Amino acid sequence: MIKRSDLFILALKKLKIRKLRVFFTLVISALGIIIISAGIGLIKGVVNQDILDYFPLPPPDTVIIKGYNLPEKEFGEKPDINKTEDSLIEHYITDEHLKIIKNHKYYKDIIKPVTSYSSLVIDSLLSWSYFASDFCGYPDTFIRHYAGKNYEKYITNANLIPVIINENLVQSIYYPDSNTIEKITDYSKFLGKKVNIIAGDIIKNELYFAIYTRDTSGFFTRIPIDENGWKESTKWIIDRYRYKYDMNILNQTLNLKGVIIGSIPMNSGNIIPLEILKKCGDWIRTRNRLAALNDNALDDLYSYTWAYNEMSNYEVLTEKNKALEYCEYLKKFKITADCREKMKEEKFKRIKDQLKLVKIILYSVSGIVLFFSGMFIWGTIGRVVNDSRREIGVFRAIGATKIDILKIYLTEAGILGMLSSVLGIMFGQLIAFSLSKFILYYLNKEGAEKLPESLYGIDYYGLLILFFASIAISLLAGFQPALKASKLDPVIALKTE
Amino acid sequence: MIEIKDLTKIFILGGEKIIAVDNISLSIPDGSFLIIMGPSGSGKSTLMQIIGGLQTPDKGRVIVNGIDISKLNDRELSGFRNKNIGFIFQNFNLQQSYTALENVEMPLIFSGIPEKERKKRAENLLCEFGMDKRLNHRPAQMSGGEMQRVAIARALVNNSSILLADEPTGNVDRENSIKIINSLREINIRFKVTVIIVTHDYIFKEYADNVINLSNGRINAEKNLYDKKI
Repeated sequence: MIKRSDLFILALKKLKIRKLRVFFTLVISALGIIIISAGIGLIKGVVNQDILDYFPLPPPDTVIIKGYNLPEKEFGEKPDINKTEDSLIEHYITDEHLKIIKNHKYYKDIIKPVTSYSSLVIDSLLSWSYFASDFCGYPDTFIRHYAGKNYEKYITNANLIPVIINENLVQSIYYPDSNTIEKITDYSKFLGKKVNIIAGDIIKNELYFAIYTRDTSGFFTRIPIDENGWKESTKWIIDRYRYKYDMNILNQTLNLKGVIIGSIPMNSGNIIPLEILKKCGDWIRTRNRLAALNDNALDDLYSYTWAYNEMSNYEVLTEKNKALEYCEYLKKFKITADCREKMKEEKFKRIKDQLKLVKIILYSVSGIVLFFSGMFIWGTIGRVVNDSRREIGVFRAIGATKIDILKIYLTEAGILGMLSSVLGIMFGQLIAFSLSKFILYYLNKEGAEKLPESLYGIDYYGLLILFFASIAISLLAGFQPALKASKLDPVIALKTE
Repeated sequence: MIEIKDLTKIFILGGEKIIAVDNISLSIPDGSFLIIMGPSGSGKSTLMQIIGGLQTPDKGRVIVNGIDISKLNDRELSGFRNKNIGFIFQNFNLQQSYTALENVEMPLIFSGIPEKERKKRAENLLCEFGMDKRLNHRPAQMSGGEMQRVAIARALVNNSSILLADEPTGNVDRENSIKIINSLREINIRFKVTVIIVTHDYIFKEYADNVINLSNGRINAEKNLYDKKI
C-alpha cells in the first residue's frame, strides 16, 4: 500500500507533467474563488462598519420616561406594585408613542407634570434623566440631540485619565482596575491628538481645569490643574497609583499630555466634546431661567434634594386598577418599554437582512462558480486518466491496488482544489482590499462627508469554509474519473496505444 | 515453483465464447527459463497474465511459491505482483517523464518502502546493470538497450522471484533480439529468478530450458520440451 507522503509526491509529479492543462485548470478554478473571496472580504468590511454612523438613530427628540412601578419589560405587562424604589426602570419611547400615551385618560394621573414647571412639560418627562445625570450634568437626550449621529461615540466611557509619556500612552487612571490602554487609544482616535483635559461643570460655566478622580476610599478628589500644573498633577497621579506602574516608568520624568478635547463631567463616565457640552449647558441654563420665573422654582437645580423632589412626581402608578388599565391601553399600541432600542435593533436587523440577502446571492453565485470549477477539474482529471491508461496498467502490474490508483487521482484533484483555493483566496482578498481603497479614494474625491476607514474585512470563518468547500468540490469532481481509473482492467490498460 | 492445474480462461467477445486457455496443467520449477510460444490467439499472453496475477482464471488453480493466487482479492493480488512478479513489457513501458532511477523506484513506492531505502536499492541495481551514469536520464535520453536494462531493473528491484516478459523482442531486429535474450538469460542465471517469456521469436528456443507451444489454448504436447526434460 502506497504511503501518504509518496501519494502526494506522485500526484504532484503527475500534475507537473501536464503543466499547461494544470495551469488552465488552476486559473479557471481560482477565478471563481477569487470572485467569492473578494465578495466575502467586502461584505465583511461593510458588516464591520459602525452601521449606526450611516443609518442614524431614531429622531433626536426621542424622550426617556423613567419611573417606579412601571413594568420591567413592557408597558403592557402587569406592573409589580410591590416593587421598591430600587426597581426604578427606564422606558424609552418615541415622540409618536408619547402622543399616544398623552391621549390616555389617566395620563395626567400617571405622569403628573411638575406644576411649577408647567411651561416645560416635556422637560419634566426628562427629569429622571436629569436626576440621573445630576452628577453628570446632562440628560442623555440633549447630548444625543446635539451630538446627533455621533452620539454613540460621545458616550464612550471616560472613567479614566490618560497618562502619556513622551506622547506614548502608558496607562489610564481613575478606575485603574477596569480600564485599559485600548480604551484610551480609542479616545485618541476620535478626539484628536493635542488638548488639555478639561473637567468641570459646564452648566455653571465653570471650567476648573481639574481632574476629578476617585481615591482608593471611593471619595472624589479634585486635582487642580493649571497651565503650569501638569507636572505636579502627574506626580500626584503617580504617587496615588504607584502600585499600578512599572518601576521603569516611575523612574522617568513624566509629562501629562492630554489628548482629549472636551469635558469629563463628574461621575458621568462620559467624555463629551466641549462644543456639545456648551450647547447642552446653554439649553439647561435657558430652561432654568424659565423655571425661575415661577414662584416655586428651586434655587439650586443641581441639588440632590431638588432632583429627588422632582423624581417623586413619577411615583404615580399607585392605583393598581388604573395602572393595569393603562398598561392594557399601551399594549394595544404595542408600546414596549424598550421600543426605542427595538427600533435600533430593527434597523440593524433590516440592514443585516439586506446584507444576508447579498450574502445569499453571493453564495448562490459562488455555488454556481464552484460547480463549474468542479466540472473543469472533473474534465481535467478525466482527461488525465484517459491519457494515462497505459501508465495505470503499468502501476497495476507493478503492484498498485485499485485503492492506490483511486487515491493517486483523488490526490491530484485535491491538490488542484487546494492550489486553486489558496490562489483564489489570496488574490480575492487582495482585490477586495484594493477595491475598498479605490472606492474610498473615489468617494473622497467626490467630496463625501464621512467615510469609513476601510470597506475590507477578513472573514476568517467564511474563508475557511471557502477553502474546505473548494477542496471538497474538487475531490467530489475528481472521484468519478479516479474511480474509473481504479476500475481499469490492467491488461486492457497495458494494451492502450 | 509455479504449479498450474486445470487452468481455463474463457472470454466472451461479441456474444461468442472464446476459450483462451483450455484446461492447462503445468509445473515450472524455480529458476527455469521458460519460453511460451504459439501463434496469435493461442492463449500464450493470457496464460502469462494469469501467472502474473493480472487476470484471474475461470477454472483451475495457479499456485506460485505455495500461494494459490486464483483465490486472492485485489489487494492481496496486487501485493503478490509487487513482491513476486517482475514484468518486462514490449517497448518496456517506462514512464517517459520519470528518470531511470524514478522508474526503477516505482514498485518500491507501492510496497511502502521509505524513500531513502528506495533510492538506495534502485541506485544499486541500476549500477549493477552499468547504468550509474544514466540514473537521472529520462527514457527519451536513453538507447534501446539502456531502456531495456532499466525495465529489467524495475522488474527485479523488489527481489521478484519470477520475471515475465511479454514479446520483449517484438519490434527489435535480429541482432538486438539476441542481445535481449542474452541479457534475460544472464539475469536468470545471475539472480536465480524464473524467467517466463512469451514470444513469436523462434530464436529464443535455443536459449530456453523449456519451450511450451500453445495452440488454441492447449499445450501442444509434441513440442513441450520442458516435459521431455522432466
